[in-house]
Amino acid sequence: MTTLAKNVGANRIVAGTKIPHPCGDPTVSPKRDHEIGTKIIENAFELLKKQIEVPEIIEAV
Amino acid sequence: MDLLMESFSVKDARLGSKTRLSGGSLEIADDLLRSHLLEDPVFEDVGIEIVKPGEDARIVHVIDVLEPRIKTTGEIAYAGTASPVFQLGQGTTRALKNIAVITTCEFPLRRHGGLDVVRDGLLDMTGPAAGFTPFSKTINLVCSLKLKPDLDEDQYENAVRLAGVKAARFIGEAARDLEPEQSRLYSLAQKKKDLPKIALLYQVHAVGLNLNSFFYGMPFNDKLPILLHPNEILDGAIVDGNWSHPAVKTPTWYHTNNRLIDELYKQHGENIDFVGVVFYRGRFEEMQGKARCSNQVVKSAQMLGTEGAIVTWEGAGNAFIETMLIVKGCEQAGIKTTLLTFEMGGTEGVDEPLFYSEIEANAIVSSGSYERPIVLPPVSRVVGGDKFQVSPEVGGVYLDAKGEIALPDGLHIFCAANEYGLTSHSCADY
Amino acid sequence: MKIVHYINQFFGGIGGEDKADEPLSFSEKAIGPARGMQQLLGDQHQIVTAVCGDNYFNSYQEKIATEVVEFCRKEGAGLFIAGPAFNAGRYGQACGALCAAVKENLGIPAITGLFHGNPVLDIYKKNAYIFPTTETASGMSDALSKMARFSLKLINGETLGPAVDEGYFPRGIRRDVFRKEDGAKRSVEMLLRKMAGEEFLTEIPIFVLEKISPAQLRKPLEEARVAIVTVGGIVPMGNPDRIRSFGAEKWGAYDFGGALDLKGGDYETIHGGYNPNFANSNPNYVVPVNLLRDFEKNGIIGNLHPVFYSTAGVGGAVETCQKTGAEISKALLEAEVDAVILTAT
Repeated sequence: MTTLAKNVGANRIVAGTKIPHPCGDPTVSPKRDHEIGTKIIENAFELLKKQIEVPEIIEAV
Repeated sequence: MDLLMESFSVKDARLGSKTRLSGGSLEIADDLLRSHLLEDPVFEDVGIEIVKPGEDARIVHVIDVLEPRIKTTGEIAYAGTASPVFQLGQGTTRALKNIAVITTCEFPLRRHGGLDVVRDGLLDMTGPAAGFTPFSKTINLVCSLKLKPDLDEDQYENAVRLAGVKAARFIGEAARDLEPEQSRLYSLAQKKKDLPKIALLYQVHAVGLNLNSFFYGMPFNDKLPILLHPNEILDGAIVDGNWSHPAVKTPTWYHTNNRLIDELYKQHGENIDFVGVVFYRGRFEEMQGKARCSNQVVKSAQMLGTEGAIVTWEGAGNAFIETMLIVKGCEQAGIKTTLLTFEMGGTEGVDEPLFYSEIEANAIVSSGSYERPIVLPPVSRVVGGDKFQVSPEVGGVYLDAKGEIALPDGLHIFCAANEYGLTSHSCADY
Repeated sequence: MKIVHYINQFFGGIGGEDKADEPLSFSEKAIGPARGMQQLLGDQHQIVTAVCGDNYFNSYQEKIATEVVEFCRKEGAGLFIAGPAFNAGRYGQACGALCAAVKENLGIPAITGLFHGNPVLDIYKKNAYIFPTTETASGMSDALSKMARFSLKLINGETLGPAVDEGYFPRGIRRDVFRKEDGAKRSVEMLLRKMAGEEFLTEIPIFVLEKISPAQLRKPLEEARVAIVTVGGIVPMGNPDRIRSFGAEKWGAYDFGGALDLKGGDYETIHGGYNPNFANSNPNYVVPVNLLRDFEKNGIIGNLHPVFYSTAGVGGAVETCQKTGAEISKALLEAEVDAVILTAT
């Protein structure tokens, strides 16, 4: 819910997979699930490393 | 599609040997009703009791409330639930007024958290919580359903929902051969020219087990927005399946007696042109789903030629994001909106009333807050069970249902959020 | 009742901008607008005056607040009135700050008047009954009569209506009411008025939360300690801290030591607002210990803090959430955490 996060003042926002499982996808194979989760965390670190001035969102692919 | 609604007023009710209505006095063949409901092997037992307005009574483990109905033009009331599907919203329907079927059921606690945990709901006939629903003023036929142990949750869910509809049809039969006292024709046909076109954007809670809405018997949890004739809603096309969130509950009775549809019909033809209902579920689990759904609702409203929309929702939490995105989308498309919602605000009303908003939502009607603490006095009679369960997240805390119940908020009070605006509960700034 | 009325040097008849450094003084008489107020309230109530130069107040705010509060206490005041200050900045600040101080220290009600565009209005509207005034003192008599009418209601202990009826700026304190018509009827009426371009009053004001300026990472990510915080309600099985499913006021800190992931069965979610099945079988979907261990192993981050912080983020009052956030932040700083992955459901 990236609009909600931005609305309440979060500055670095990464879209997760789905509300009940933001860090992965239980409907695919464990290998792909892991890849999906890893990509989400990578996105998070990409924003954490950056100097930002205004809120930035990385939406789901 | 015109619907003729014939109504019969019930002034008192008693249990007896036949089901019949005469001079406002309703007799209910409770043994027959009981055996009818016990045809479902999921139930171990069924209790039938009458609770009257003004009684110092509390009903616990509340599941659903339905109005006794039959159709006299060949279809079946609440068609699609434990019956074949018929197109509803046309022909003739008969309704018994001032009486409600209430189902209660104590579910086993199988999980501590989540959307699908059954949470205990209570309904007080007198006292500070009585005004939250219209059912403190109706004669209530309470069917207490007892489940056989060790069955699957979806079997329980299905059984209790069907039981309510079956009981509503059973009682509705009392009206079959009588002369109607009152009738009202719901028709959108006649109208003056150039009236403002108004649509009702109607969100329901439909996410899955124990938190679903059923459309002609079909679970609506993976469906996209559809266009409905308001008569379908009045005629029982939607049956409720929310047992996990008592405060934000919209029982089947609230759909068939939807006050907004009633009000829009009262104004139709003279002041407004009621163009239809866009029916949808919210609470999609990712932003794309929310955006997709909201866009479809706005687009549907546009295709109806809508100029003004009443936006309502059912539920709490992230379901509100769709609601707000729809308000935003409508306003940006030139459709004026008014949103009806409950508010939060915390125990003292000093916190934010809404947890999410878009700047376009400048016309909001508040249906009150259910976040204030409330103390419910002890009662003389409890129906549906002896214990009242709170805090499933710690394994369940069981209170004496007859005693004083001090609640930190209205989470467990049936229909406390008043999401369809049936009561005049609201909040104001002081 | 004894009432203390605060005014500045101009309304106190001492002088204009040239006398803005005038120190605080008290008088047993009602001066300037206070005299106008006295006439409106009648003889059975006595108004005494506090006067101070706007610049003097600005320089010694805390000292003056203390002295004014003391004066009210000594006088046995049951009500405090300030201004009205219209659109004046320093005078408005003085009136607002003194109302807040009196209310907080003595618990007596405080009334003032400000122009709706006065920037101090938003700061103090929770602490006082602030009545809308004109931009300049041309609206003095109207402002005084509004303030006086309400003062009498307070003094006489009358039941108060909502802000919109009593006439002061809404304070953000919402109470349950029953309106004349049900919600459905009001919704249709409001829509029709809005469509006709007529005036209507929304019943819930939209809020805009303060923007928070972003923190920046203070060391390279490869050296950073990263912690997981979640509002997804993941707790050790059995919910030992009894965190509530809705409106949670507590949070927990849970040590998972050197574990490479969290096991379903050891943890569960008690959050009331999402489908729990995935998180219950695999808590890493919400508290991604497994994923972060990879990043730690590959040297992308310095280390994963062995404690995760958790609460259920649903139905919580904003102030409660802010308090929880502040407390968790404190714990994170004490643990020398450099960056946080916060998961939300």
